[in-house]
Amino acid sequence: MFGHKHETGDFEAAAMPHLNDLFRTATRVIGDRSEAEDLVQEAYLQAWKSFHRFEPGTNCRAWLFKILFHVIQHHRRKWYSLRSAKESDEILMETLAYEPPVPEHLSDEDVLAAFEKIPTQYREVVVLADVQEFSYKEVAATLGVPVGTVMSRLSRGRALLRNELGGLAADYGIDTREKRTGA
Amino acid sequence: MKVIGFEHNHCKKIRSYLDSYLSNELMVETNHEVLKHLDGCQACSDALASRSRVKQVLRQAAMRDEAPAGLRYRIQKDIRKSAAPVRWGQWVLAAAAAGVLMAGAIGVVRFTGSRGAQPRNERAATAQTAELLTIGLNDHSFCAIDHNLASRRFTREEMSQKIGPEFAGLVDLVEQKAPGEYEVVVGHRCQFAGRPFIHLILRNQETLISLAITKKNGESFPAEAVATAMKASGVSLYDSRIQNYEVTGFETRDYLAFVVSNLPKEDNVRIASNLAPGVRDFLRKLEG
Repeated sequence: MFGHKHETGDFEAAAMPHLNDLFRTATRVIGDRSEAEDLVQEAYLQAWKSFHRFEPGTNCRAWLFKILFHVIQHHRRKWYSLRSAKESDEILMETLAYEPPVPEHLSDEDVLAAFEKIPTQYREVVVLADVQEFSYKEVAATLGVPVGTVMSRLSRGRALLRNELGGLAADYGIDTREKRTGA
Repeated sequence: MKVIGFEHNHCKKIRSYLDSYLSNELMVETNHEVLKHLDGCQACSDALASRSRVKQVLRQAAMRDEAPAGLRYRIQKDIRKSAAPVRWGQWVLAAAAAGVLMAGAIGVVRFTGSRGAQPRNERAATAQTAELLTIGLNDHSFCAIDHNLASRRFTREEMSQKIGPEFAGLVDLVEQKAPGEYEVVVGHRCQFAGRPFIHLILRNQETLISLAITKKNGESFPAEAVATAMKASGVSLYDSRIQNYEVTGFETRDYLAFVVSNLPKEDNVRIASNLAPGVRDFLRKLEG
């Protein structure tokens, strides 16, 4: 028990400042705030239990994200079968190079609702790279996938989001036909 | 649909680089190649601008989310509750150190007799005080943290309705007396272990504070503890650190009131000192 209080303090000082980032990420990946809360709580508990393996001076944020995604993947395996990306891939082959116009005025709700329609495996890469601004290498380490996979998923994830937002453009009455055929 | 009318193959190649360009992950030479192309190609520049904007709006929307205050508390509670991560080597050292300390302590007791120890009546008073303060802690822990009520934000009307006309004035009173950065976010009636409470939750960006008030069931802070209690405008304040929470309590004829947080002792007591005189006067009026 000696040093317990000291270590608790060390852990909280190193880990708690990243709570908002972990929660945002979990919410965007899982799509449900309440589930995200539970998963982040579990990730912190696991991080605390393995804090003795954390090397001070190394990147605590990246370490916490790795644990969070381990918890998320475990949760997903338990409750869901991963949505197949096959169908989306086929659509993507056709739409990847197309740059639909993005509406000028987008509410946060519009953007997040569009983002939620993207399959999880793309969403998690996009959120790590574009929201949390991790490098390709860090995203690869967090998810346990090769850098090449990160690059292709990021590219596809972004294209899918553009596509969804382009759909909004059509809903808003912005004509997308001309650009589609004339680019 | 499959035919993307790029003007020439170079556009196609550059577009395949745009995502890495946006993430600042291109080699210097490739980066130059992209920049050079963008200079002379409006279509690719527009494509980059569009991708950049999508990235920006997504980040902006996602960053608005904040972790609920209750989550922070539940995590801290988990951490403090769970056993420390003990390495085997550390455990052996700790056990050895404990042995040395215990031997030393026995020696001290033998040499000094009971001079250093707290007298039995004071010990009993301290224990009784802590037991009473735990009543407030339980409500804070059960309601604000475990049931995540602290993440809610009631309107004044909702609070007045939930708390009832008798206690509705308490919300404004507490809001005025609490430090400026705190806001009353919840005011309601709740129960823990069958005991009813009037419960107000104050919050700033990082901290939760509960003011929990309950009718006495024949309890009172022990007379022996009055001497050691702190005073705030004639109100005796009793304080104890319990399960890593700071609980400061005071009483009127019919009520027990508790200010609970995970702040350091001096901060919790300071806030309780600000609240206590006004809350006492409020409760006294109800007592008639």
